[in-house]
Amino acid sequence: MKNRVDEVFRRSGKIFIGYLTCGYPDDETTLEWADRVISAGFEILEIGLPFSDPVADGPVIELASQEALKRGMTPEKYLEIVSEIRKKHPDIPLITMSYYNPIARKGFKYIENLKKSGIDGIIIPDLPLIEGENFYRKINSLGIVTPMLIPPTIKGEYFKKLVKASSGFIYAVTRTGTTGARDEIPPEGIELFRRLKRETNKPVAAGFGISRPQQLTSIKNLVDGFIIGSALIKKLEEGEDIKNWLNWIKEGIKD
Amino acid sequence: MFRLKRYYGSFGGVYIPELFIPILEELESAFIRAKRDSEFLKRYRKLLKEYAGRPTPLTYAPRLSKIIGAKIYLKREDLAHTGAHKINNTIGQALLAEYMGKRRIIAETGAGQHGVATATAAAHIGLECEIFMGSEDVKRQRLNVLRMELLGAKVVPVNKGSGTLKDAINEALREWAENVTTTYYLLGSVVGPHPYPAIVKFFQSVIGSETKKQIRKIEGRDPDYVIACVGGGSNAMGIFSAFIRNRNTRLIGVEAAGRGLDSLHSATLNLGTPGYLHGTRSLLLQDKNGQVKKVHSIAPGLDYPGVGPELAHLVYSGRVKASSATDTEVIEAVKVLAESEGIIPALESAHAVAYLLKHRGEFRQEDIVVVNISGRGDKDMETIMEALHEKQS
Repeated sequence: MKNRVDEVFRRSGKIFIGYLTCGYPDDETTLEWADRVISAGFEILEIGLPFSDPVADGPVIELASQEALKRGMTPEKYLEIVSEIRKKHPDIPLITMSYYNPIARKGFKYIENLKKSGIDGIIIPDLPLIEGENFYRKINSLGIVTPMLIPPTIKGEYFKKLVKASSGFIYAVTRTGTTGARDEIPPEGIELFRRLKRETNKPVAAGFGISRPQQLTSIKNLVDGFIIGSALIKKLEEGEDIKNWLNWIKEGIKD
Repeated sequence: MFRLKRYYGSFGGVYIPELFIPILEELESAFIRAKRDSEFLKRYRKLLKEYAGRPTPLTYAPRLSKIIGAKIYLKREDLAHTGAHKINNTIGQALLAEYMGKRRIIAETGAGQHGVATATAAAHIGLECEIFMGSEDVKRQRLNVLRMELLGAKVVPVNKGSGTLKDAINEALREWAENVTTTYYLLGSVVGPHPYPAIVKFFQSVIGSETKKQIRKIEGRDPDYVIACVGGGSNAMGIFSAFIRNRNTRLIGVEAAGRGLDSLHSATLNLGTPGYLHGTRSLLLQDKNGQVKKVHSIAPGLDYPGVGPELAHLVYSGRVKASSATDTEVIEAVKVLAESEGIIPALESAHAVAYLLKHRGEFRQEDIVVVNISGRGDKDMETIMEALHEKQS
């Protein structure tokens, strides 16, 4: 079974993954923003299912989640919006980002529905492999990829296990802390990318804190892609031209 | 990898971002070492005795006994230093932080009692301390904010979500994620990811072991009932722990029914369903979409949509009975205990007293009932005054 995420990483050049919170600032705008993000040249779209207590997220995504919930976002509506995006963009890889509780509450049937709506990958930031091994395997059996989040603090055997359990790509977290734009990639982040390079041939995408090309020069030769969330939402809120912005970043990391 | 068991029945675990896993392993291994280190334990016990004022008394309550129709004893955690049982845990964990070589402590607080107890332990041991507190609670518990600041802690108001305990924990977790290698997160209840429920229970079990010794000395046997209020469940697990194996002792956890079980409350053991929040699988007040529900209690320390995983298991397995008391019943209980015994309990602890009043006449005269008075009510005087005033008008 071919997965769109795997297909995309076969291309040459860096892959850019954009993140949006579903239902923020409202349902229609999510659809419109998705169009803009895709036509700007982001190769993968990650769509967050909002949760009331998003502890892995910084202020931008936290606020977006709260706002979306206030406007009545539900797991069912999420499926509808994903289906619409899928209809308009048959080739773009779509990844669900959800905390574990909403998914667990809905049961495995919901994962099957995500698949039917056109989802290619699932990321659950508060379900570590140590608790979720079987669950992730079950998700994989549907042909959905599960990129594992690997932060710089993980070493040794568990690091190897996470690399092994990752499919689609490895979501390498540049630093400790939550999502949201920061200045530099810290030394332990750079060290993580070096370790990943030594450990595996799987594609590696860097996420958390990414907003400017200047940050990326130190790691660009070590990774295959970049994940941009909070900074992307900010740009969309400000009504900026996403295409120009992404091109600026892409130009900035060219040799 | 983890060496201790992470689960209580189907509850517990480490449902938290990967970045915390190595830190929790490090914490577990330090906890295992400290528990076996006689020097560490000696220091902990010495501080409990000479600094926190333990053992706390077990007080017979003659006039309340008459009202209820059973022999009522009160475990006086309100007499511990800082006015609540929280100090048992904060001294233990502050020592553990030092043991691990961490010089900075962060903590969440609801009522402010855990925050005050953390700031106190940090001051005594000489650690840097930062406390996260919901903005709503900052308003409700001004005096505790002042106490923490006076103790040298920095209080960070959390202006997110409902501005209560849950949001304070979210923010403390984010801050911990940011500085995970240098900072010790001193969690205040038997909640959160493994090994926290085990650590907090270990340090709070002193309440139960003292109670057991005291009641056996006075009455020559274990009590028929042990009653404690439940928010996250630390005072309840603390006092229950010594009696879990004695099936003749009934254990009752009293939660906040708030404005009523069909309205806003925080009665998780009574009405929660299995879910995942703050690193643990436990019972949770959530809607059908898995979003965490808004909760309410007049007692800010009980204002939490989750509960400790071991308590959830004890209730599921039938060992602990879950009950509840409304805000109105709790205010009445404060009055009764104050007038009959000269003790003003914290609003949290008054939930346990309210259980007695609700069930008076259902006990046998010779029944021995121990109620954990987990804290004193000084911090709640404004809330109590308002509630009494409302009732009159």
